[in-house]
Amino acid sequence: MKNYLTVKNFNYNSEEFNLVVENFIVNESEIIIIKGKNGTGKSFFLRQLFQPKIDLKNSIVFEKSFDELHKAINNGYVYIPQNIPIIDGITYEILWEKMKLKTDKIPNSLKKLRERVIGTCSGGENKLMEVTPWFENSFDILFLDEIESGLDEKNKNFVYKNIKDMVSKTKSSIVLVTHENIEFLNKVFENTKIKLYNIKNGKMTENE
Amino acid sequence: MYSNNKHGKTFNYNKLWLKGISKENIIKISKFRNEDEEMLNFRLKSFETWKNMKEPTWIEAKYYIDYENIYPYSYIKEETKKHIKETFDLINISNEETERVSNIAMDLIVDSESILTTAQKKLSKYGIIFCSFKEGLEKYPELIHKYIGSVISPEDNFFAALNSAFFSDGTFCFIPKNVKCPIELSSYFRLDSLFGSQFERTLIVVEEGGEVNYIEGCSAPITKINQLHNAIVEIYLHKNAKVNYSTLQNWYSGDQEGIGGVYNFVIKRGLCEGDNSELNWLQVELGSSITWKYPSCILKGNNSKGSFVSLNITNNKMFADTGTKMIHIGENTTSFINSKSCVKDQSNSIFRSQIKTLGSAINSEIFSNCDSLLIGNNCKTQALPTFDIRNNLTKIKHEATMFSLDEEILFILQVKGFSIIEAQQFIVQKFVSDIVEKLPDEFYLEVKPILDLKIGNNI
Repeated sequence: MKNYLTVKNFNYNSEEFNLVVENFIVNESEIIIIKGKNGTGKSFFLRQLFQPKIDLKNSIVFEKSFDELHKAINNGYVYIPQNIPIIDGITYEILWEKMKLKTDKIPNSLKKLRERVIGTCSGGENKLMEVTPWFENSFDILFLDEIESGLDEKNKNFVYKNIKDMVSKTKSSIVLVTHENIEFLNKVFENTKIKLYNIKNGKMTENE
Repeated sequence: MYSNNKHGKTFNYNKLWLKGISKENIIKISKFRNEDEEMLNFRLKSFETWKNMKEPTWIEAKYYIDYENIYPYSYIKEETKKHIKETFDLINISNEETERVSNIAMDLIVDSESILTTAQKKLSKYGIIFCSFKEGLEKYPELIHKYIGSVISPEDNFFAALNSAFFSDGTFCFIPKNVKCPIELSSYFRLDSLFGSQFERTLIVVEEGGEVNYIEGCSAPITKINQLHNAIVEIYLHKNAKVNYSTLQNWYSGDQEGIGGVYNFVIKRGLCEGDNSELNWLQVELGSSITWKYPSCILKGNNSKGSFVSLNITNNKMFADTGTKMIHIGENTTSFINSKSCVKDQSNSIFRSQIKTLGSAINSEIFSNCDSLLIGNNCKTQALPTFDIRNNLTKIKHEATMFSLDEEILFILQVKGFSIIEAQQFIVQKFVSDIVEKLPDEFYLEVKPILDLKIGNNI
């Protein structure tokens, strides 16, 4: 089993929060769930994986290292943030072309939004426009920061079903930062390998 | 055609002629250019004025000009001129058929002399005069004497006096009454001589009801020596006249250490003498190691309008002190200012404006906007607007913003595969888009790649 990412001895202290991650591992074909209360540093942790502060750099080892941030996506590491800012001048179509993504299977209801500027659709549509193309393109890890926010039940189920399919049928892995109920997640990702990490008292640990 | 190289090689056939700023050299220049006594006297009087002036010290940039050792006049050899003309013929720029269908006329000035002026025959059918300053003085002395110094007098400032004493070619343009120039007119300046200086002088006169679109471009070779470009552009507008004057300034800006580059000390001013006249300055400033330039409008005629739209990009150790003056004298006069600066590396950009409305300028309207985008932590920008309003019936709106590159968008673009340079270029292109979209076609296609190169630090 291939190891895509290992985070060891990650130790961050600030006035807002402290976060210690002793061992965070992402292997192929896994769904990794990170849970924790608001303000515990979940989103911060995801972002640090891509743009680490100098003293955290050595804690993070991707299988395929990237010396410049824009090369991460070429190595198969995809990050979709919690809030999609408006990027005036770039439409989803331009973005998909830039990232050389296949978009054949995107539902027509979304395809018609492709000429919209990034971040200008509704909250849920923005999320779908970001994540849906990856259901037909290859990657090693897709990092999703609260992908569920803004999505209605139908679209949430659509996203989770595709996540499950990707992980089951390919070697791709998904890292989800989420507030979803764990029973619900166990149900939607039934028969899929899930690892759950919890942040509590400034420490992120895996729930066995 | 304009600034379309990375400053290129020099012609290498320049004749440096006359060393130093002196009365003797003024007399030699005037004689060499077959000027009349009146013009020589104008020069000599300007020189006396200059001698009694002190070089301005308020500009923050550090520079040094050794006036005793600069070469105020240089030109290229006849055989080289001939070669350039033949090349222009070869690429069909200056032949009669091309001129007939072309929508632009050009005056090409290399160092101190105009070496080629196109479409003169075509323009003369409309009564339009479009020629080098030297030719203008030879053929239309009464017009030149009437208007030279009428908008920018030698007493105006130190560099105005210097230019008035030592000016060489630039362009003379005269648009007669009720003639709307059917094609765009342009001047292209090449400061080719490595040790030379260029004292450009351009004069545009538009009679009642006349209109013209004027375009100016420039370039200079890469050199470790600082070259001096000291220019005056005077525009005189009669009643109902209109001038759109666009500049793409891409002089060599020096290297990353700030070595070399052109000192671009320019005075540009238009007098909207007649009622309902209109002068619109549009400038894209991409080059020069030091720029000191404030295209201005004197709105004397009632209902006259002036605008200044500027895009200024500085990188490395460039220093740009630019802006405008709008002097409202007539009733119902309006001025519009929109300045955008993008500042990078260790460069320094200052927007300076002086808006003045006299008591007579009742019901005047002023809109002023200045935006600056900083890229990096070592660059510097300042906005220094001043308003001197002497009546209670003037409407003013002023806005200024200053911000750094949006780190969040920069991050998002990078995780989506844009390199940091691509992401910066993208953000800058968006920042300047409202001005770039207004550029004449001739500039539009050139500005985007030059901008990208500057943000990418390739020039």
